[in-house]
Amino acid sequence: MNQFPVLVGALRYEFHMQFHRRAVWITMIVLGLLLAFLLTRHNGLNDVLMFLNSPSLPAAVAYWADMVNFAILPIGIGVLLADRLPRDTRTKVHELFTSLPGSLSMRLLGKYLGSTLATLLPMFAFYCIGIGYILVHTHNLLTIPLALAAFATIILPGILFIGAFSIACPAIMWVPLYQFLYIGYWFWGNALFPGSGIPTLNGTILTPIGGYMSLGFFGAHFFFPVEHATALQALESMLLLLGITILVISVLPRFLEWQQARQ
Amino acid sequence: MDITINHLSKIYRGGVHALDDLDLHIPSGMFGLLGPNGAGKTTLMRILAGILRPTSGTLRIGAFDGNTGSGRSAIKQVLGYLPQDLGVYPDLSAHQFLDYVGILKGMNDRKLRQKRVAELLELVALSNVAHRKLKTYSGGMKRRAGIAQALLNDPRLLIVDEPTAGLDPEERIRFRNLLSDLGGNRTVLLSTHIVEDIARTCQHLAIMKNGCVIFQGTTADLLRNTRDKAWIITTRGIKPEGNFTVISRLNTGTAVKYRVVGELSPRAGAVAVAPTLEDGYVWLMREQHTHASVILVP
Repeated sequence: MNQFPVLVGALRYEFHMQFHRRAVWITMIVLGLLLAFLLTRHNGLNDVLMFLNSPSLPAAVAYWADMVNFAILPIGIGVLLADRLPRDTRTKVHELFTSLPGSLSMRLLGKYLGSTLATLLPMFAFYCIGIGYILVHTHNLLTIPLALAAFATIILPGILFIGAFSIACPAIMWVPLYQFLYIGYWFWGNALFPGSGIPTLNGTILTPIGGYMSLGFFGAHFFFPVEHATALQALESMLLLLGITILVISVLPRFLEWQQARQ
Repeated sequence: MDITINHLSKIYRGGVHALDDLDLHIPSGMFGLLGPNGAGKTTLMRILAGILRPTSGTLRIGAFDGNTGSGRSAIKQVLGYLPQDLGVYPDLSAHQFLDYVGILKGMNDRKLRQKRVAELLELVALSNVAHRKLKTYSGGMKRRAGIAQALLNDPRLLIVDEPTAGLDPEERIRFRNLLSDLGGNRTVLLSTHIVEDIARTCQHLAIMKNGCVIFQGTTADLLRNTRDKAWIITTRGIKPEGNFTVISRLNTGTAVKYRVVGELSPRAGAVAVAPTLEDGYVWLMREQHTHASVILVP
């Protein structure tokens, strides 16, 4: 049986269900407003605009991508994805779907991609607001391809990374526990600066906020403890995040099959 | 599509013996699987559907070996399964849910799949509400959506686990008639603890208890086994004493009629009656209780 249509079908329907989930939009809008409040409160609106008005277009786009990706919105994404897998057990769909010939790995990959992309949409919409400002300010149409490149390299790898763990980890732990640990991890791994006395992933190529990609590909960063990074380091960081993502999503169906065989 | 099961056992973690060296042969057509709660019926259904692995034993469904991964995959291609506890995505409509299940069943041609979905929704009388979310459906409507998804791929083996549990009498009759129509050229395995469902739809049946098959044969065989065991005892209201099980009690106003199953000599107020399948089931359970090692397989 050709399993590619299973992947496409699962992606489509999981996207549909997550897209129409009111909690996703309400949560992300509230977090977006909170982010806007924090940015303008802490730095002042003028400071934010100063970054967006940077004479270097790539830098302006990178600053904005960093700001959007920095703290709160990815937290929302990870938290909102955490219940997607346990939901199949909760709704008792799992038993029926296990009896179907569609492969578990394709179904899970579709669930992961569809749910993550749907949950990413509000963040993308928020991202487009800043890009829209840059476009209007610079009157430079290059803003659009740069914005897409920045989103794809700075934001997307990290989101796919946390999305994979948010889908997979609830297979072995209670969802609220995962959500709590995930929020803690996000602040520990991205907001805590090295040299604070507590070891942190922040500043390493494992940091999902995309600091290395921002510096290495676009020459600018916002709130990242590394001053210089090469394009090669940026590529390393991206590939490492995506590689771990692929590993997690590949292991998950094996783990679930093993669990099922043990029943 | 015959099913042959030999020495099948299933021991859950924790040491629960759900199936105990079970042997069973299921021919094509309608086949009923009866037994009390905890007999192992659902465990057996789940093993046949490839959801659980047996601890030991062999399982053959048609030409496919249910003990291998490739065999289980092949069985899933020809299988339609309605679980005891059907789960659905509440925010999808019946049409969307069936379309999704159709994709997972390998129905890749979109137009053909949607045509089939529409046909089945018509068959189960859900066309008018096909685009309503499943969370707005009643229990009976969900069950009908469940049978529709089981039939999407025109399965050669249809397994329905407790399909009428919780349905009102009209829904149950509709469901039974639908299942009877389906039994033609496929194997339909109907698992239930409601004797009436089997009596109305199945010629062949097996009865399970404590993880074993204690009876396999036709309904006629079971009734023959129960001949001279079913009685109506009429009293003024006092419950009769004796070595029997009371099936029902009917107060007619002037007297009380007890339908009982047991070894009775003719006595005042006791009239032998033609046994029903329910009588046969109760008699068998009594015999099992008294002579635990007796296995009746004509």
